[in-house]
Amino acid sequence: MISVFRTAAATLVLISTAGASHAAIEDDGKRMIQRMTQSVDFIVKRSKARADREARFRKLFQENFDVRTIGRWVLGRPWRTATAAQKAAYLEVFQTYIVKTYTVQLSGYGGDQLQLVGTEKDGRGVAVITHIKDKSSRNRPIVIRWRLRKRNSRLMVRDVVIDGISMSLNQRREFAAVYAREGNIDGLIATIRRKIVELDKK
Amino acid sequence: MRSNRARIVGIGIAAAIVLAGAGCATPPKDPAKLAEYKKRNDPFEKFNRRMHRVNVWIDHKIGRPIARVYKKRVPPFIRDRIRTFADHLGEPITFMNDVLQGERERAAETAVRFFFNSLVGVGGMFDVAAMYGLKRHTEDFGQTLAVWGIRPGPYIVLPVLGPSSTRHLAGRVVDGVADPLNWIGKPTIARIIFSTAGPLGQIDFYARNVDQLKAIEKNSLDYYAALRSFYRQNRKSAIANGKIKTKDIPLPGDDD
Repeated sequence: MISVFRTAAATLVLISTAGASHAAIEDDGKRMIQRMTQSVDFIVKRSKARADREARFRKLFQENFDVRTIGRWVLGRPWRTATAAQKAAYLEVFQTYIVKTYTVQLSGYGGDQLQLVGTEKDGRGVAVITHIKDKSSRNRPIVIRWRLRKRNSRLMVRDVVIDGISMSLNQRREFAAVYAREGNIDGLIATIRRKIVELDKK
Repeated sequence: MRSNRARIVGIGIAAAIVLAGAGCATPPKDPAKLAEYKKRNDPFEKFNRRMHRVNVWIDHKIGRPIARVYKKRVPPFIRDRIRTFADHLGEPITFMNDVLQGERERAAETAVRFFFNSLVGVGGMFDVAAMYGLKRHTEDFGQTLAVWGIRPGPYIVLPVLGPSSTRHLAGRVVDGVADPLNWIGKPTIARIIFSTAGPLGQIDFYARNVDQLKAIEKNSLDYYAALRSFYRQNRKSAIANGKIKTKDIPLPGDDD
């Protein structure tokens, strides 16, 4: 716990002394990812009931992920021709679906598991780099890049890249396949709804 | 034995191509759909999806029960030895491809690992080199072809082995035939059983990854498309030796 305060204090000092705006955005990003992984850690440790855990993850997700931008991009071309009602319905199911899938993923990345190793310039934003150490320490660590962009002056996650594999891009490809099969956005929304029901049952 | 296996793989490929030809789709006329079709780079999708269904069946009915028994009956220590030894037998192939890709440092790393682990690591059962900071990496001839500028070619789902591409498949055949271990002596029974491509190595590899595979299947809207995307991104990353520039990966909101 002390180390948490110490890191927080150190980050604060760093931020107050950071001159260039990019250094500021990097520290901002680090702090955000740190805070988020601490929350994940807390949820995983304290919240055992699935409904409660999911509700907490949903909140965490809404606070830290740019859901609207991700959802729009994952849908791709069909977004342009969708009606306002379809867009709203789509974003609603997308968020529920994504929270459910990320809950499983993020649950594995609790505090001490995830090691913050640095940041990297990423276009107009910043990528925060974290490692998951291999337990046997035989292999290179798994590298997770959190790609952050500002939205309303707050940094938010746009994509999570695990060992070079973009989660958003995976989803975009998969959604495109479903859209192609269903032929329209309503079919895609229905497919996502069915999946949510299926995931709830298990 | 090795070349025999290569021959079997060769026949398999020929059969797969003939079958795939039968399931080959005609490209759509509409420009937007044509662009999507080209991006998908999966002209054999009909055949591939059929093969995928077979693989899912094998996965559920045979793979998972074997993995369950393997994990339950074989103690972790032994499993680690199997894994390390299978990985060890794959090092010469990695070395060969490091050299072919002009990666001197990585080739040297692999060579040192192989000799060091052979001697100090009890014939490759322990990865002592990794403890000294020489971490393992893998290379295959499919990656070498990519480094040489050859395009992946269409997506192919192989029986049992799953996602692949024509380039990756050609690479597998070459690796099977050209394994430097074959230069040293005739393959022994132990080597065939334990090698990365051998049954035990494969079971161990599968058992370690089965949960991840299950998670993808459970969470995906279209398991086939999800695997295809995972496979492709994973291959790209492997070819770039994990050094894909973040800015080269498309980001939500930065375009379209």
